[in-house]
Amino acid sequence: MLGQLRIAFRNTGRQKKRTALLAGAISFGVLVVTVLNGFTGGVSRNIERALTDLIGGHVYISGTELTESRLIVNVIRDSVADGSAGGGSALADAVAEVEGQIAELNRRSRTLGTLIFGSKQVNQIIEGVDWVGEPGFLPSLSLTGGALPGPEARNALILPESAADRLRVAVGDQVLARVATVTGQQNVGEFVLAATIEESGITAFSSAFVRLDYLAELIDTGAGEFQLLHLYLHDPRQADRVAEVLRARLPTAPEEERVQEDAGGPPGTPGAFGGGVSRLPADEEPWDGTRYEITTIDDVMAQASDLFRVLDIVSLVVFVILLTITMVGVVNTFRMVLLERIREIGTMRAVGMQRGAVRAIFLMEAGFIGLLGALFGLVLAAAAMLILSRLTLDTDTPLQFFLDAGRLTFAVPPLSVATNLAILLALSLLAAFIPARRAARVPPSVALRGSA
Amino acid sequence: MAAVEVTDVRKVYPLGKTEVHAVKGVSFTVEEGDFVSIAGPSGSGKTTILNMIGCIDSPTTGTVRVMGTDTAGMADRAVTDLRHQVLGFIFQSFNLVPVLNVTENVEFPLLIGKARVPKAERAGWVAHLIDAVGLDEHRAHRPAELSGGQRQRVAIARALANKPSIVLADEPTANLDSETSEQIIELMKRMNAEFGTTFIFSTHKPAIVAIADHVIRLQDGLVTEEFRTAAEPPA
Repeated sequence: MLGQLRIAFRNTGRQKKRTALLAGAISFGVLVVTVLNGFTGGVSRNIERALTDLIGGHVYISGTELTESRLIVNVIRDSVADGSAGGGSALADAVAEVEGQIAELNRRSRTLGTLIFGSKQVNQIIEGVDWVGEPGFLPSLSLTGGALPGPEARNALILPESAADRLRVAVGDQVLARVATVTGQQNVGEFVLAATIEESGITAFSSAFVRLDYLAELIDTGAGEFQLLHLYLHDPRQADRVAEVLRARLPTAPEEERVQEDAGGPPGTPGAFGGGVSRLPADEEPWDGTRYEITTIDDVMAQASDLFRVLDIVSLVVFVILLTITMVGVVNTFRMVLLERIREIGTMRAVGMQRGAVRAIFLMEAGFIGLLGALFGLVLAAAAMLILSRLTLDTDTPLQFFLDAGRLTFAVPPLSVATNLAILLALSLLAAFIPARRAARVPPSVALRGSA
Repeated sequence: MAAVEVTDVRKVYPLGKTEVHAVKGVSFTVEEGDFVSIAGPSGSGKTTILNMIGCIDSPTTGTVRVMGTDTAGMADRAVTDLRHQVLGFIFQSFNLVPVLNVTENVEFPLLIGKARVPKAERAGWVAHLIDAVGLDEHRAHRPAELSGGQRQRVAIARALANKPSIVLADEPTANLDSETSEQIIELMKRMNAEFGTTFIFSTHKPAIVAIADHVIRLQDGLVTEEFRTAAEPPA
């Protein structure tokens, strides 16, 4: 084996230009597929992070109740006192089960309302946040005007800059908000614009923020009640597992109904937009108490993940096509190699080398060229990704949602690299196999005469 | 036991629609330790006979026994093993592996067999062979950096690496000047004496033939003369 390895390795250096061309072609394929994998990995990570910030957490719990008149009301009345579990309620007990996984636990309410200032009005997602009990929230906002409200500012409003522009409202102005209560009644609240903030990546998803207790009053959920419980996890990859535990512990809608609900509204906030008022059809079974729905960041990401999976498959197909073209070159090269080294093969066979060992030398040589190309391709890909990740892109476009602080980021999954290398190696060996087998089968007497 | 027994061997090659009778019924015996020259002009069948003794080619009819083994009908793997264990080869064009240096070329046969020779023992034996053929100062050189005579010395050392019973040399001096040719044959003779290895070489040069103990002369695929210059073959 040592002798074969030594010969195969040194043979790669015999025709340096030819080896460089083959390895170069292979490295181009590796470069393309690695950068594409890195791009989809990076964008996927950025979107997940942006969505986590936007929605607020990794696992989202919403609750629905049924009134006597069969109205479905979005509300959670169970107590989960100040982020700590163990309040004796079903929700508190369920949360206690996964307490070790939870980094932060936030109560939110969210509704789609109409903000009115003078003759202007805009529709806006209004999110109630307990920023007194959630002290990390306000400092996380990027202010563009005004100042962060203090704990006493009960009706403070924090608006995305675009909404403030459309309303032509300035800091300190009074703004009316028309919202629907959880039972579908119209209600009007009065807010004072405290600050404007930068848009989140996608303007349409940007929320206005108000105090949870004041919004609770407006939407009529009652003091201490809320609509959504958001869990930030220490390890976001555990989101599905945590959700499973919660689903097992909490009363939830039957599977078929859950599927219908999922299809009807944005994930994470089922029914919360537009007042969330609907009536239970007469043919459906009513329920008592609160019924919970648990969704995760993975559910939110599912469609995007599907898209990235398709992109990964497309890049893999491109890679295989590029490699297949390259492998035609490998086959031809090794046919030439067979003719060039036929006497050498005859000598090795005469000296006592078995056919399999001759074949192995050819295959090892192809493997070395493949690995050389792969290594070079990975280095090129790393350099390309480094350069691309240093470019700062326009921060005012929706593209921002896919970026990290205005920059492209790349995350190459090690499994993809391993898969690509395995495919590359397999194709290299396959391409060299037929010439290798032919070389091994040439009778020594024929090979020593210099013909194949 | 005879090292080689060739009995009524014929070899016919197809050539288009005709046939070439390269060897037309040859018989001879080579004893262990012999230093044999197969002499004859070009096309007399020397290389064909050496190839058949070396299990590189097989006779059309007749039998070839190498160290008592009838080589007819052997599977490729068994024949390859026989070549590796019993035979050494020296070629007219040296046929060294160009990407290996002198030491690695000599060591090469020791790395490809089933038997594993310990590294230290292997290195010692290879160094001894290189020293014996006078290439001590060139052990790290590749074939392209050596003269024709030096390359053939490497080939001789490589042929002896596996301690074979028989070394076959096909026109080992054909590509060398007369002075170097004599040195190479003398070296082979010395190796024959030192290691007791049977040497069978083909040549068409009369001066080289004269050095052999046992001469088999061929003409048109037939043995025309066979004689020994020494009174008794070596024990």
